[in-house]
Amino acid sequence: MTLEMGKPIAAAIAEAEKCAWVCRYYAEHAAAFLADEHVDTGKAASFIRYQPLGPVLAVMPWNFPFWQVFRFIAPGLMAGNVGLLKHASNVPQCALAIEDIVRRAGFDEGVFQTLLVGSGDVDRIIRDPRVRAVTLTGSEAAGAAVARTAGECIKKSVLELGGSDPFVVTGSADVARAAATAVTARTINNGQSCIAAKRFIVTDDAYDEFERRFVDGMRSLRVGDPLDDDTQVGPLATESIRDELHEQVLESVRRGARVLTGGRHLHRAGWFYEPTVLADVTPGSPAYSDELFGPVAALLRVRDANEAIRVANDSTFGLGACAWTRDAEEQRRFTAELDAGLVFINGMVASDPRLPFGGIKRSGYGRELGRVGIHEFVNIKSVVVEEEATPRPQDAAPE
Amino acid sequence: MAMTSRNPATGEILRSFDTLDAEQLEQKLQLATRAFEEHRRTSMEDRARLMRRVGDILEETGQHSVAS
Repeated sequence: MTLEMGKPIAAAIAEAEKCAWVCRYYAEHAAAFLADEHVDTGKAASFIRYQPLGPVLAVMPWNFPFWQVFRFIAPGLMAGNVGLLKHASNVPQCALAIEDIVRRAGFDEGVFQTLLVGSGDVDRIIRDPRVRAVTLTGSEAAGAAVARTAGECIKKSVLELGGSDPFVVTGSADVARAAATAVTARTINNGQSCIAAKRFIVTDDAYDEFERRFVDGMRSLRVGDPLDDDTQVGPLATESIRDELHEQVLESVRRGARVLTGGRHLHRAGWFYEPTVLADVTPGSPAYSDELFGPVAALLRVRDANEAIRVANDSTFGLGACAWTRDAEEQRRFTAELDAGLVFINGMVASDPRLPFGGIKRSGYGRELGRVGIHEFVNIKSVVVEEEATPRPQDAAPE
Repeated sequence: MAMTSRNPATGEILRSFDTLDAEQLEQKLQLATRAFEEHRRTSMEDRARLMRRVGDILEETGQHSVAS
């Protein structure tokens, strides 16, 4: 992982451990999640049975090159499906390593296969009648293309797409803790996470302290070789991602944003970008409206919780959101009114095998993980028996 | 067509892989179909045992797997 996509080595080891967790979670719980559910309809018997669909295609991204795949493998294989992986083209070694791990564990050949194919082949693989469903984690454009084909073929799809998660802070919050967490939430995985906090929406009464602490924290990050244990921020995964991010920063500045720190490439080999904070970000600018996939934060000052909710929801995305407040009424409102698939109060958004994960609006549909996640790719079969079988003669009890 | 693995910290090309041709892809789809017919009949206990083993391998070889 570290060598192919640049995440710090400590984060890569943590990712492998989290993959082990999701495997054990579904090993332990899948039988209960998939057990027949009896429903009283007044008939002799009626129940819901969960059965596998068949080969499922997973189109997966490079940013968490193991985690994104194992959170598909664990529920998928436990449900009795088999998996076909089309991984991002910049992580072929990760893709092959994952197939090898599944085989070494003892799953039969063909239960999980990596397909080294280009994105141009995805359409015809989805159309293949042997492929029964598709799941994608990736960009909006890739998701729309997959959903279009899956729709034409009447095949189930799950999409986990981008996000521009709000990180809301009000005056009742522990601002020091919020600012420290904000640095991690923005720069985790070198800033390349769909659930990284991207828009920091802070009320007037907390803004100045938050800005000072947050900028100090972003400035003090150790950027460098991802193989070094002390590195906190490594390079971006590809040159084009680095260049696109820089263009988004420049355009946001042209539209009125101020650079409080960063805003430049690092002058060294590789695709490094300075941790960056933009203030006075204006509606319609890339830092306000688009997903910034790198260590660049957008700071937005608002009057109060009402305006914070309005600005937080003023996005085409709806993946994660977190809100920092110790006021009970504000906690209730943020929980109820933030448009997102995940809401965390006084904590950083993170995926957890036990909880459903996914978004609304242009962040996608369907859910991974938890009990819900394993039910996405099964035939939910309703069975009603009006008259139960009579014993066959050979089964009858001897006289 | 080749698929290339590059180190983003240096820009260095690590390795290139040939992508599957149509025949190789067809073989993998056939294999998936056959594997499904077997795998769907396996017990939950067997699947759980193997899935735990996947978890063990991920932990045992974590450092090696992630860096190689």
